[in-house]
Amino acid sequence: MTQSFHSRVLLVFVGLIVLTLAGTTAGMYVAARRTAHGLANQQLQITERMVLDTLGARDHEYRTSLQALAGDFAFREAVSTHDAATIASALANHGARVGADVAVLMDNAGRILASTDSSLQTPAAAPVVRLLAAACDQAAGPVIAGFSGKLMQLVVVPVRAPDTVGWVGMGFVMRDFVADQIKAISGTDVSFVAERNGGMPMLAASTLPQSQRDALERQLQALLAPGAAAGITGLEGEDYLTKVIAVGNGGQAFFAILQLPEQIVSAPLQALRHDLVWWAGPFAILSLIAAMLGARFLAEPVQALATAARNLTGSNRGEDVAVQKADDVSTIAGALHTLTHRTQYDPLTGLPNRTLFAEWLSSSISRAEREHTPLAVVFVDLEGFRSINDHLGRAMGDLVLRKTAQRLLRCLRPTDVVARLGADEFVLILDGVSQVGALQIVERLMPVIAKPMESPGGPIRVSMRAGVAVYPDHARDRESLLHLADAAKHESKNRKQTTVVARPPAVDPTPTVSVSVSSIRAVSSTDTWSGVPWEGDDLSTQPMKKIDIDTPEGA
Amino acid sequence: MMRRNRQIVLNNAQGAGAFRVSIGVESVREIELHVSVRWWGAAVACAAFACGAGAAQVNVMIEDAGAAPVHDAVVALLPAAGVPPSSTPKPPVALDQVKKQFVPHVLAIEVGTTLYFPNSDNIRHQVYSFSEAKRFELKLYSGKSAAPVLFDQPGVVVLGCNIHDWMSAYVYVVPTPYFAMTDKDGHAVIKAPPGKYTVKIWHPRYAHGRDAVSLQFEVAHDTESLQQTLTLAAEDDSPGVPPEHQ
Repeated sequence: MTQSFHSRVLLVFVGLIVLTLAGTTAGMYVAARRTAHGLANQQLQITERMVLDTLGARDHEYRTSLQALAGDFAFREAVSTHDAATIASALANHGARVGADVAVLMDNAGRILASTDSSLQTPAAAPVVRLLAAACDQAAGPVIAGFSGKLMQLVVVPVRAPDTVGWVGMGFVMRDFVADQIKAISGTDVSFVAERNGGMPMLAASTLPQSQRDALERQLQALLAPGAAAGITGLEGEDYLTKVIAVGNGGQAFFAILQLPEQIVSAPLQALRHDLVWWAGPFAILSLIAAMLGARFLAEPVQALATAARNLTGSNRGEDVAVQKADDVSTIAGALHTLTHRTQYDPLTGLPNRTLFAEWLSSSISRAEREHTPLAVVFVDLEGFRSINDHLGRAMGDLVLRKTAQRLLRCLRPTDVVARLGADEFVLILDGVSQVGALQIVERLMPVIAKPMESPGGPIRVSMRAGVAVYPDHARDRESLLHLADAAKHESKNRKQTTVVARPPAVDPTPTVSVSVSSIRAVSSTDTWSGVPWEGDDLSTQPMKKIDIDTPEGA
Repeated sequence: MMRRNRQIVLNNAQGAGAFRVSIGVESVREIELHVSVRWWGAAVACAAFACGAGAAQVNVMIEDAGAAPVHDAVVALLPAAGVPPSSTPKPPVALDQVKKQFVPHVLAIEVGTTLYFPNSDNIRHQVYSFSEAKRFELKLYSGKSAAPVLFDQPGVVVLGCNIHDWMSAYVYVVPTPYFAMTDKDGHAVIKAPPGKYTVKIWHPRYAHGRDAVSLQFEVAHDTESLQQTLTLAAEDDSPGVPPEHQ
């Protein structure tokens, strides 16, 4: 019972600790995971804005430099007067000055009048020419065209004299450094992709190393498929969080692929897992130790109570509950002790009552059996006690009983037992004492008890009668011993003697005794001894009478 | 007075937008001095025309597709018989620059007219034209220091300022004394002697740099009148505005 209380407390503690630790750790991990993914997405979003900003800034920068050419008086004159030589030279010179990869002049209908790249006048360049025409609308935003394996950012501005007489345009190839610049700030890998007319998409610039760039190019079609805008892409054994953004672009699709190494999410999580193990592990061990100590701390008083209860209800003669501390437990223990004491001791004399006497006699018999020692049971009552009670009052009777108990105790060894069965009936258990010894003790007791007792109404005199039965000479069991002793006492009473009468063992035929014992058991259960109130002498005397009847008289 | 109305709708292949031009002609018994011109150069031209006798009054009304009147359209009547030679020198005409704008924005003059370009702003302007009808450049100047320019070829001359890119003006040089510009109500009145004419209409929003639309009609001595309507495609090329006004 107490063991299970201790285990239960421990189980609850350990369960709480495990639950709390597991819950906290899991919650922390989930939150950290969400944060890591959120940060990565935020970085991708920032990069997306940077890509758009970069394209816009480049557009603005190129437009400004192109306006310098468009506003040049000589160039305007050349365009107005269709001076082809001047136009060609101006396109080449200014293009080289601002780092353009191609420079063109178009009329108001979008036809190319002059170009530094003759391939622009071939049919293959038609999409680019269309994009150039689209780029005339500045509000359309940056225009990027894929052309002969390259991506070009196109800028077109009008030539006014002062009416619009033509459009001058330039193309700037988007090289890796554009992506590199974005990566330098954002830390995100950036790749620029244009969709060729009906053909495979083309990877034109990227921050990725060549091998991963090739791997990305192989996956382009899948990546650019509608509805596949984000996810994880594996490139040469390394995973990337990938985001594809489409840039508004005059009709021809242009994409930027933004990629973050998946490690940026998983590495901190791995570190967190590691840290959690290092922190939670020792904490778990410390908590478990604390739980064990706590469980013991809580269970200890309960165990003490349980031990006390065991001791109280057991037959340990003379042992008491050791109550050292004045706390709730000691209060309970004290109450237990008091309760138990009341059920086992006679409150008037403080002597063990019938119940306790029965237990002790049983254990004394067991010990005598084990150690092959004799044991004497002496039944004592007081002659004339009833008349004292009747004539002098119960208080005086009680006084006589208390005095008698004191005198009996005083004359005996500390190991001897004096119990009060009821009314004026006392029983002594004398361990290791034979019939002769018992008779001597009784003789020694007689004059002591017979001494007058001081009382407010004058000295009172009582005399004692006794019957002795000895283990193993007269009987071997508790009830027979008691009955024989009682019978012996009655005999002395019948004979009007104040001396001790012990029944000789020879005249106690075994069959008769065994019959009488069985008849006792048949009449009343063992509860006769333990359950009878200590004052109920009617019941206690009844079975003894039967023995008297069955026992051969005069033996 | 008998009146005969004829409607001709010319659809321009270019499409977007349209002008609707109504031309009504009625013969007049008396010559009226029409004073609805707004600058003295044109007034002088009309006064010169008033010296003739037995002229007809040609009323021109131009509105856009939304029936709003179109102003600053140039209407010129080219006599089929050719312009009678005139020894009278053409009076010079001014084209001013005020608040970084050419004033007027559109100007019609007869061939042989001299334009001079006063600068009413307190900053320097440049004037240039790369147009075939008259190519010239007046380098940066202020006040009235610029030399006058003779316009001796018919056609459209687009003027710009190399400093202020938004500044533009259109000078329509016509080879006839019979011309006018529509007023803010889209209305123009030309007095011309009886005879066969080709009418040419021109507006910066319609056909700068291209030939003006042509229409044949006759101005007779009797009380006959005719009404014609043309629809012309417009181009969106409104005159420039200084950046601070945008």
